[in-house]
Amino acid sequence: MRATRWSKPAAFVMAVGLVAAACGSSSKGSSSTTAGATTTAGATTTAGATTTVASGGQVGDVIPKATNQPYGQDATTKTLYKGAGGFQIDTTKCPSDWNPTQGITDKQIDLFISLPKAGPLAGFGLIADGAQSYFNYVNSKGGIGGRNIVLTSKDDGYKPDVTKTNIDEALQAKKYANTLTVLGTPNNLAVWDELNTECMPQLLNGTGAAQWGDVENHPWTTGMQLDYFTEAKLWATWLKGKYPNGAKVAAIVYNNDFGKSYEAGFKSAIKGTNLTLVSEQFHDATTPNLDNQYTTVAATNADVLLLSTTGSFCTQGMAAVEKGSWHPTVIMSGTCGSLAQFFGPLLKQGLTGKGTNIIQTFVDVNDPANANLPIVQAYSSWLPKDSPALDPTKTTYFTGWIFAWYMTEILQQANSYAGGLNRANIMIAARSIDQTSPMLIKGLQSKMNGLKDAYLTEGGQMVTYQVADPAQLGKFVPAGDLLNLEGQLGTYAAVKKALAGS
Amino acid sequence: MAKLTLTERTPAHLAYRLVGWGLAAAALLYLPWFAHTPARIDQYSQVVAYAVAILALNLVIGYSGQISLGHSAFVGIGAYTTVILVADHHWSYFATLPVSFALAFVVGVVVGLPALRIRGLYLAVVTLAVATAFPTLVLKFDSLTNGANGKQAKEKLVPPSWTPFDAHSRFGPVAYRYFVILAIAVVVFVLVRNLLRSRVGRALIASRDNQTSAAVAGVNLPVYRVLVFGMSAAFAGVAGSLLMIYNPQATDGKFGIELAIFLVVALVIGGVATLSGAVPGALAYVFIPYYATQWTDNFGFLKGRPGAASISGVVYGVLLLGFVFLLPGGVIDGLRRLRARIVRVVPNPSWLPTGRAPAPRPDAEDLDPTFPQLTTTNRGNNP
Repeated sequence: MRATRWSKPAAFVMAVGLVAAACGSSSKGSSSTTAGATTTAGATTTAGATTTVASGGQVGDVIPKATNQPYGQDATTKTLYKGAGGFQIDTTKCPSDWNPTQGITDKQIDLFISLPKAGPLAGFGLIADGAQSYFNYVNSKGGIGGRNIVLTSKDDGYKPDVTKTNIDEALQAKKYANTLTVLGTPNNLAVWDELNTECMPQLLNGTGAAQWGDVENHPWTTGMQLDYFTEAKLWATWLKGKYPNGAKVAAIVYNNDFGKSYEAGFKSAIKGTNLTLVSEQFHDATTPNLDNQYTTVAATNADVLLLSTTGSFCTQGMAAVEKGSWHPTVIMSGTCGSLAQFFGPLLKQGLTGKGTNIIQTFVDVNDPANANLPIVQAYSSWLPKDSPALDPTKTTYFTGWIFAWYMTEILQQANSYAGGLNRANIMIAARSIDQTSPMLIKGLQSKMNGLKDAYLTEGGQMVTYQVADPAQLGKFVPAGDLLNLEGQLGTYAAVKKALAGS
Repeated sequence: MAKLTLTERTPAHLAYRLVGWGLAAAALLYLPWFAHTPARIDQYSQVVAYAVAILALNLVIGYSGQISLGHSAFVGIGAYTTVILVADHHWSYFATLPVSFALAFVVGVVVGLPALRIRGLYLAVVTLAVATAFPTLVLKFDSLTNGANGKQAKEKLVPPSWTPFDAHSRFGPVAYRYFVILAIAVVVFVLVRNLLRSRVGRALIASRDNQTSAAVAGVNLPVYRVLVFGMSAAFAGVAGSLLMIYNPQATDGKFGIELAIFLVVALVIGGVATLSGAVPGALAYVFIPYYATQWTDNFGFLKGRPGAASISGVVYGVLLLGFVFLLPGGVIDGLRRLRARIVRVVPNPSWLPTGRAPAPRPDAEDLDPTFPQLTTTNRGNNP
């Protein structure tokens, strides 16, 4: 009897031991996935999809400074705030207990972020660590007018319901000035109505969906990244330069909002040009491979293939092209820019993916050519000093720096506005950004212009993947001129019109 | 040894049961005041909605002895029905409930048809296919479901003016939604309880425990099997609608294979073939990941380490193993055993023809604690 009494607890202990063992190995596994964590099959997420290797970055302030923008509180109507491009905030429309200085004291600014730190997309969680590290850097140099920026991050596992719980709790804690870089399109959609009703700035969303330019209906929400719609317009612009006599284009498109944003952007950009879209093959999230799609588009013998997809489908698409007899110019989604994650698996098949073109917006910290940039030097020396556990070669930390740089820019400007640092001025500043980030590829601007331009980054450099040794990962080299459509997209209303027409 | 022995159907026993139910009802009604923030009330609403889903799954797994890994799809059908009708056709939330019920019932009957021919693992695989297919279908019909970005309804359920809830406060609408969800859940629980105590329920349990003898006794096995699948799916659909009352946003990922598995897990945690097991199961489903993440945020040695939050999944796994090994009957079974040390209920001897009470079972209230397919112990014979 005694033996059976103890057998169950003993079995339990052994089982726990097994879990612990599994945990040990899985943590190793996850660190290898996070290394190149720029995107995943979640398709519409893709926050860190912005790394680059192209030509050098540009000289910009490592810590942005206020530029005396003439915005802020109205001199006569104290509840009215005015910004660039006719953007205004009337705080009488906010809840009666809305506090303009919530989360802002003389010593500290409290910000909130919700993103996956556990689960399949845990790699994106590093953005929060990277952002906090940049804020610590800013704090060590005096902060925002003597105020330290403190970031509270919560895990949502990429589940919109959990994001909502996190955001609700953050709202009800009444101690945060704004949210930043909430990750994932459905996750942001789950909370944006509420945040707009509550007049809580929802800034620099960690997704490239075009919705974040909906300044008319969601004035308190902004994005940061190059949106997929504009990215496809950049493809068309580049192709026009490469094929002045016209070209036939075929596309493999992810059958969701993400893929369709590319489709709509490309179609709207080739109207009236001699580029023709001859075949579009859609694939679902669950399709095992792209063989059928590839066979159909290859039969058209088009000059160009667009891989408007993400995750492992990028790798499959490149592999199909390289193995086949059809040799189109391949343009691939920028969400598949991570070499280790998407090009690495090709090596095992004896393939390389060479010749693939993608759009890049921000500099790559791992490219030796960028090592002398002040921002890269600051990043490489500060990150391990701030927290020895953070490895600067993991580009997702740098993605966190990119988001945090813009947040700091917003806070610096808001602090200089009439009325001082408060949440209305933070929102005004977020819609009036007109300063070039040192992380951007040289020649690009990042600009918001209130009701006229609701997208921050609208340009990029087309780069081609080149391989010297087929057994090693290659590198991206710039192809053609810088592509810049800054200020041309306008607001989400334009995208909606194009989506309805396509 | 029990400190207190109660005889069934005596005033003392009645009072004991009344106090028990009264306490439970009071606790449920008091919960919104116990919460300090509306977000916490929302979590209670989630618990109640998921409890309905677990209860629905229990009908199939616990009471009819079939395995379903596809209930996430039925919850999803209910959720999408509600959110589409509210968002695109401006229905009231309440009017969508019967539609969710009916639609999920029909799909449940269709999915249940294979259950006539196959059992056990094979049925599990078939239903697993349903769970896998559902998110794909959501993406496929994106004109209806809005694809990967999820479908949301702008209009939330707000308290009408005749209720004591202030529609413009932060607590009012949230508490109102909690009580609405709770009221509907209570109705579902009572319906299921009555169903199980009726001829249908006895027929189900009989066919679960011994098909042959049930058939010999006149139970029409095919009809009952399909019917229970349909009913279970319908209640799961209602659970989906309740989730949308709490937060009107449906995404494909929310009703995928993960939910299907976790419903089964929550069922095991709560207790298979117990009605009340749905509540601890749902509590575990909502709160364990939530607190596990919070705890792990506070572990000093993990702080600042990349991927540290993934430990919450491990904590969840360990707890689950703990349940399977140490409390195989689930939380409810554990509580009942605990109670059996204090209170013992014995049958009233006056009912028996001999006038002599038989030896009391450890658990007189259970419909039938044994479920050979899923529980490892047969409590009836366990020393």
